[in-house]
This record gives sequence, C-alpha cells and structure tokens, in this order.
Amino acid sequence: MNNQKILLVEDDEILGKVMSEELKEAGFEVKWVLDGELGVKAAQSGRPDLILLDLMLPKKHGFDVLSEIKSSPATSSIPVIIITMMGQDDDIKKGIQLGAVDYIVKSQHAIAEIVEKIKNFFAKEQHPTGQ
Amino acid sequence: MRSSHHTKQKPKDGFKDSVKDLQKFKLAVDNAYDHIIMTDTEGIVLYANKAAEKITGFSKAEIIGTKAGALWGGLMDKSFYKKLWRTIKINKKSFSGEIRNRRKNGEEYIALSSIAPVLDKNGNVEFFVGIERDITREKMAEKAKNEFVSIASHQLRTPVTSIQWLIELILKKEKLSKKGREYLKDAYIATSRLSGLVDTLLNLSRIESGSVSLVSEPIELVKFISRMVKETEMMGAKKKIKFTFKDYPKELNIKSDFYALSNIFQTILTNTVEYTPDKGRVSIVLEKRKNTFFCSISDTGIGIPKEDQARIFGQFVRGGNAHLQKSAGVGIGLYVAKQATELLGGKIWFESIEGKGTTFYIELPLKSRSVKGEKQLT
Repeated sequence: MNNQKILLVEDDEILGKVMSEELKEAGFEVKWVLDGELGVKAAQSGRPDLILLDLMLPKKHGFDVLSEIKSSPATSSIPVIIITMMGQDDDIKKGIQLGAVDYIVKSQHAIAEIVEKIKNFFAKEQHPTGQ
Repeated sequence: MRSSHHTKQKPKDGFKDSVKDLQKFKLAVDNAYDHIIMTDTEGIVLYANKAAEKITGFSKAEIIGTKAGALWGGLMDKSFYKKLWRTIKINKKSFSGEIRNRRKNGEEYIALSSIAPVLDKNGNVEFFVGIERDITREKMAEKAKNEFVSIASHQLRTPVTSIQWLIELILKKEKLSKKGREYLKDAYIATSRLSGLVDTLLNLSRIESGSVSLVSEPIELVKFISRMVKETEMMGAKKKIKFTFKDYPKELNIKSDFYALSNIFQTILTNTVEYTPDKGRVSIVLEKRKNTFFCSISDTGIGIPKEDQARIFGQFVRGGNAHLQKSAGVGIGLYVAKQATELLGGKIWFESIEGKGTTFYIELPLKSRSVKGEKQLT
C-alpha cells in the first residue's frame, strides 16, 4: 500500500514526464513542477512525503530550494532526494550537506531502477531497522 | 662564441673575463621572462628583475627594501606562507607551488613560484632566490576547458538519458514486431555507447586536470567482478563469446575506489568483446596475493600488433588492426584505465600476439588510499 505523495521538481520535459508517469504507475501520488520557485511553493502547500529535486533548475537553483525547504519549520522534516546527472559530484556533496537524505544519478539508471529505489526508500522509512 | 670555449683552455685574462661573464649573467637575469628576485635571509628584497616589475606592477624602487611578497602577496592561507618559510629557511630546501598574488592595479594573478635558499660553505642560508612565472592565462584556459567538458557532458547526458528511458518504456509497454524489438534494442545499445563515451571524455578531462579524488570503500571483489563479467557477457551474446570466470577465492574483501575500479575492469572487459571475433573465448582469473590482488583477463581476440604495443596505453592510440573489428573508437580507454590503476597504486600490463589474443594483467593493492581531489572518476 503506497499512496505516498511525491513532489517531483524537474525542468526537463521528457525526463519529468517519464519519472512522473512511472512513479504514478507504481502507485504513488505525484505532483510535478518544472522550476525551483514552484518547487518551494508546492512543498509548502502540498506537504509531500518525499521530494525529488533536480539541481539545475530555472528561476531558483536546487540548492536554494533545498535550503528554503530545510530552514522552514513547516517543510524541514520532508525528506529530499537529489536527482542529478553524472559528473556533478561536488553538487551531490553540497546537497547532502544542505540536508538531502540521498541522491540518484539519472543517467546511471534505467527508469525501472529509479522507481525501485524510491520504493525501497519508503520501505526503509517504515522499517527503519530493516535492510 | 669564442674559440677558447671550444678548446676548454683557460682564458689568459681570467679576471677580466669573469667580470664580463658576470655582466652577461646579470643581463640574462635582468631580462628573463620570469619574475626573479633575490632577498636576504629575512626575505627583504635586494634585487628584482624587469619581469618582476612588469608582472607585479611595482617599480624596482618600490620593491627593493620591502619584504618579498609584502606588496603583491598575502592572498593565500597563513599556513601556506608558514610552510613556505619553514621549507626554505629551516629545512633549507627549495619550495615550489602555485601562488595567488595581486598586481599594483588590483588585478589578481596566479604564479608558479619556486624559491630556493642559496647556502654558504657552512650550509648557512646566504640569500634566497625566488622565480615566479605568471601562469594566469594557462590556468584560465584549463579552467575554461574543464568547464566546457563538464557543461557539454551534462547537456549531452540529458537527451541521451531521455532516449534511453523512452526506449525502455517502449520495450516494456508497447506491442512490437520481432524486428521492431530488435531495432529498438540496437538503438538502446547505441545510446548506451554514447553515454559511455561522454563518461570517458569527462574522465579524461579530470585526469588531465589532476583533480581526481579517490574514496576508498569496502568492496567484495568476487561479486564485483562477477557482476561486470555478466554485464559484458550480455554485450557479447550476439557474438556468442564465451566467458569463463571460475578461478577465484571464495571471497575477497578489499578497500578501493568503486568508480576507478569499475573503470579499469569495464575498459578491459569491454575491449575483449569489441576485439574478439565471433565465438571467441574470454577467461578471467582472480588471485589473492600478500598485499595485493591479481587478475588476468585473456581473450582469443585480434591481438595488439607488435609495433603498437609500446604505446597502446597512450592517449588517442588504437592498435593498427583495431578498425577491422570496430570502426568507432577514440583510443582513450586504456589510457584512462592505466591512469586509474596508477592512482590506486597498482600496475597494469599485457601480453599479446596479433591474431591469437591478448591477456591483460592487473595487480592492485588490497587497501587503496583515499585521495582528496575535486571529483571522482565516473
């Protein structure tokens, strides 16, 4: 049973479409926005269970989105996973320092693997001692 | 040139000549392209050449009598200058490094600096000589190149990833004819190759800029290699290449950088498939040694021609017969693999007979060090 809410912040139309459709198919409720500003707004209004956050975003960079989410008491407890491209290791490090729980390198995985990772994330959340 | 120099005879008027020679030396130093200064044991400037004036923007009159770097330095961490002085004054060794400085007009520049103590007969410091070359332009060019590669690879990856995901979805969800499925699988393989090429270029640029970082983490090597062999086997399925990996310890726990290690094995294993004709064989042996592990990967491929063997680990080098098996290829796989092996503190070498096959040998430490740098390999 998983009707957890996922907020997807991804500016690439195709990658965003594929991820959001596949996550929906896996049973998640997905809200997809295409820029950083909308990302912050949707985090505040939608109270998702998980945020998937791209970094290179129009209007507001992913780092700023992350900082704002983490510094606002209303949203600070929402786990954020960075979804990035290969070759941005420095960015990953910085993202983790800013409070992201994990990262996924998009170009390294088939979409099925990414969905699997998200499922595993929620499974772990529910059974923190497991795995 | 005077004839006396050729015959190595001592000139008659030795004194006069040495004065002339000294003048020549001074002229050479005065007019050298690099910034050259001499200081006393406390670092107070006694001499500065023309390039020092030109590069720092301060005149000789301004420079001489001040402490070296007081006018143009001070931008680095305190610990940097401490180390510099300790090296040249206490350890009496020469120091070299890149220093960020500031010209009189406020503009910052990067200098490759080397400072050496000149010692007297008793081993005491008599004076210091500092030579600096302004490498700002080279640094900027290097930075621009690395930024370009990084941006280009990001921009290339996004569409490539889109294509791969979409093909994956079509294969999974759509009804396809047998031919259609086959074409799409080929398209998938081609895009994987493209994304691999982008990775290789990025790795090359990282190695070139000397900014590779290594993170030593626990890896179980038997599982690691088995998985890679399996992946390669899938690549080679069409060519019916048979892989054998039977000779290995029950378990081999090592500490190494996952990405560097993947890079090495992937390159060698992929090459076996690319350069082995249909129905060939590849066998892998893994062995634990005292402080290292040893792995050999043999194929029945086309081999590396004798005349190419010495330079096969070079950049942009492919065997003369390589195009017969695979037309595409840039010739950087083995270069990066060798650099990665050396970064991990190991060795890689091979034996090859053209037309018969090649065996690559890899020996790496069971525990590799971590190295701080900007980025890991991909």
